[in-house]
Amino acid sequence: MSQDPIERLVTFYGDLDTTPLPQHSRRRAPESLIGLATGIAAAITLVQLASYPSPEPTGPLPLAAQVQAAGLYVRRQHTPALEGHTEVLPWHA
Amino acid sequence: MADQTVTMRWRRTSETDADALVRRTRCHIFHIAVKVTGSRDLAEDVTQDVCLRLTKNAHKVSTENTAAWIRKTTVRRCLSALREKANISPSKPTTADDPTQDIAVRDTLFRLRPEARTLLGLALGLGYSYEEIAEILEVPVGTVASRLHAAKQAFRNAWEEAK
Repeated sequence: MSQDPIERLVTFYGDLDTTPLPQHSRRRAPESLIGLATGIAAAITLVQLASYPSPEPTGPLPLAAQVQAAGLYVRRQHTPALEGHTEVLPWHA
Repeated sequence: MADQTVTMRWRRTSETDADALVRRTRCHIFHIAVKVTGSRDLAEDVTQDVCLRLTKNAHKVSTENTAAWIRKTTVRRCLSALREKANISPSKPTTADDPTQDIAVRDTLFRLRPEARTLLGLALGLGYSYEEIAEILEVPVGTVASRLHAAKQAFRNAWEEAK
């Protein structure tokens, strides 16, 4: 084999196999197939998301909710007429 | 209704023509891409891209300039592919390349800049003349000569460094 790098480069180019692969064996899938696969993956993800239970709220209640809860408590503690009733009235009622 | 039928028939005919054109020219496109990139893997991607462009632009490409259009588009896509690859992994050949290749030459080639590789592929791989390369790259013939000389020198330097 020649030691001249340019000659070796010419030989390299000459030895390259330029026969294309048959179209049906190409590595990349047709775009329509890619679109179909993407659609199926999206549908599976949606189904999985829908089947998950909604997360329980964590951390402290929002301020408005705390105020509302406190108001109900005070009303029920200091209004004898409400004692024994199961119905919960709005705090501002 | 009649207009729709005519339009649909025209579209079918155009698609058939484009498909036939792609089938006829695909081997030629791949041949150019392999020689310019020095990689079957990259050439597959380039061929697919050029075939897609050819299908879309079949109505614009006339019979007379089909060969010139294919040559220019393929070389430009090769250059883009080499640049993209150089940004990802500058010195590593792809795994799908032929393992029987002259590894030392291939590795040296992959260390060159994409522009130099393209020029070497056009001149030494495809045997194009300076005039043909100048037309493809849209540069003066003198520029082709000087850049090709520089590319060969860069290859020699890289070869010596690798020793």
